[in-house]
Amino acid sequence: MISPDAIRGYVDLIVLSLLSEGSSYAYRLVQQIATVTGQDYAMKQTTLYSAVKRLESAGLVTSFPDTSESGKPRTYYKITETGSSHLDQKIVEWRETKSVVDRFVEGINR
Amino acid sequence: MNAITAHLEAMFDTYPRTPRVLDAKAELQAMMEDAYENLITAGVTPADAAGQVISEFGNLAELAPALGITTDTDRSRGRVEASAADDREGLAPPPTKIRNVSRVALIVLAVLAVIWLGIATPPLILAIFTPMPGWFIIFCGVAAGISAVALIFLIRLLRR
Repeated sequence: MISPDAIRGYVDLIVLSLLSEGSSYAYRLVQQIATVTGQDYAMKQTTLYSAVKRLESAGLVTSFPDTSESGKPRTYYKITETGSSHLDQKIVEWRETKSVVDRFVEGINR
Repeated sequence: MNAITAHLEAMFDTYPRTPRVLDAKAELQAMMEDAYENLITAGVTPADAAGQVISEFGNLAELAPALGITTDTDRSRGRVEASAADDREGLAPPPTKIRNVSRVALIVLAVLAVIWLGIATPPLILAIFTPMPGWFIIFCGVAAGISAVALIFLIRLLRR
């Protein structure tokens, strides 16, 4: 199980990646994350909510009212154009970060 | 479901009822309800479902910076910065600056009480030896009594 500290810097990247595939509401995002991560990581509801609100205040996502599959009114979040560009930059940054850290980790394991 | 609502109410109890805080509460409640119903559909008992949903809730202090709870709190209650993300479960402890500000106010009041006590008591002692107008003795007595009671309360508050 990955600790919240280990993944903290990547929560925004995870949320933006999911929203780049289509608009969604908070609980569905939590479910989508749980489906992908399985037992490795469970995102708390407050972590997800604070992430979408942080992204919204930064203009990277927008919110709008809509109805969920169960017919209940929910706040949906949608990635903006700025959000998409930001996501592209973050993906490049993540790949570089991963590559740099791997160089040390693989070196230690050798 | 009642346990979930009670948990949420308790979590938000210490925060001001600003529009942003109320929006957060409503959306978190919706998230918790969705999670609960999902578990019930999956065959989990209501008690277990409520327990699991509450355990997956997280840390409310984490929301403070993103929601501007700190700013809203400042505006509505004159409070100062709440602490940022906290890894512990549950609410953030009350900001220390708030306690410091309250403490300073209590100390100022205690000093004022001592001054009033100092002004009102000597005439009462002098009244034993020298004749003085009755109204003056009553005034000094009341002032000394109020100051003494206030001082006792203030000292008790400061010792907490």
